[in-house]
Amino acid sequence: MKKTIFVLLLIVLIVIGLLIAVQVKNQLVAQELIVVNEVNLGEVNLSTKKEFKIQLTNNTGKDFEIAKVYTSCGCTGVLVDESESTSFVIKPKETIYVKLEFDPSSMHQEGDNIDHEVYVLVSNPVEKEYVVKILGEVI
Amino acid sequence: MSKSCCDKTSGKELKGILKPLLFIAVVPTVVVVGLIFLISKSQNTAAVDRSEIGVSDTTYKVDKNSFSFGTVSMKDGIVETVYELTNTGSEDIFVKELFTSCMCTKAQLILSDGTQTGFYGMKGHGGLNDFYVGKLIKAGETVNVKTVFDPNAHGPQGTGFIKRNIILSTNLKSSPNIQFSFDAEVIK
Repeated sequence: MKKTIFVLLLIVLIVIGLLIAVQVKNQLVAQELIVVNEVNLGEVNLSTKKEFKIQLTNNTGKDFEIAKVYTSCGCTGVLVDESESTSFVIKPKETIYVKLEFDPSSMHQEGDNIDHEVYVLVSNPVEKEYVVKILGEVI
Repeated sequence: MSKSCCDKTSGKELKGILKPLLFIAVVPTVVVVGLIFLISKSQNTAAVDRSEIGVSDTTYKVDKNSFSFGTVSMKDGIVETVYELTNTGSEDIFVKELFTSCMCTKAQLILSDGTQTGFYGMKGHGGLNDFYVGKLIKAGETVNVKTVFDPNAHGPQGTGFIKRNIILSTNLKSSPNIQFSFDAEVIK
């Protein structure tokens, strides 16, 4: 009898432990900002500037402070007015689009593969740099 | 009778003489042939097309993966930094290509014996072979990757925060691309 009770208690404890672990994992996942991994611009004409957007979604219950958005190449720039800044806050359950522009004429030539990166630096709640690959081909 | 007797004796004597003679002749011949084979093999290896060198399972360490220039003024012009890379494993690393993420950034490989490559820039500004390095980083060797950033490369519009990457494409088995980066706040 005592042995049965012990085994039952052990099973209950294991189940509770598993439930807590799943909950903690979900909370950790929910801390993340949802940022696309890559944007494919497809074929971009050498003489044409190509505008594109990066989607940032905050599915958590906290504000996300974006410290800055920057790029790996001078040919790719964030589209903001001079008075504006690339730092902003994404409210809970909010989705924001960052507008960027790729200008192939400045650094590319026909037939080049586009392989650049855009960085989104989150300063709060945790500091993290998200990387978005920008792909395509210059024609 | 006596002739056959003497023939037998001389045959035995002959065998007795031939045995050490054969030994003396064969052993050095085998050694010499073996040495010639080994030498020719090593010469063939040295002549192998570097582009066909196999993967390297070695390890490496760097003094820094990223660097911050802080504020860089356009009027002060070009800034530079050096990344140090050490092959900590037992196999050589073959550097296939060196390139950067932007035309404003150029990088150069400097080997431990002082050999310097030219400066390499962003892919898209030349033919396919323009980024070919073809150098070995020997086991235990430390090399430098000198990096130069020109804040004026994008004209007066090129202000703001930037991040640039320098990539060494190698024959490393895991993660063949060794990447360094730097950032800067570019002001007028």
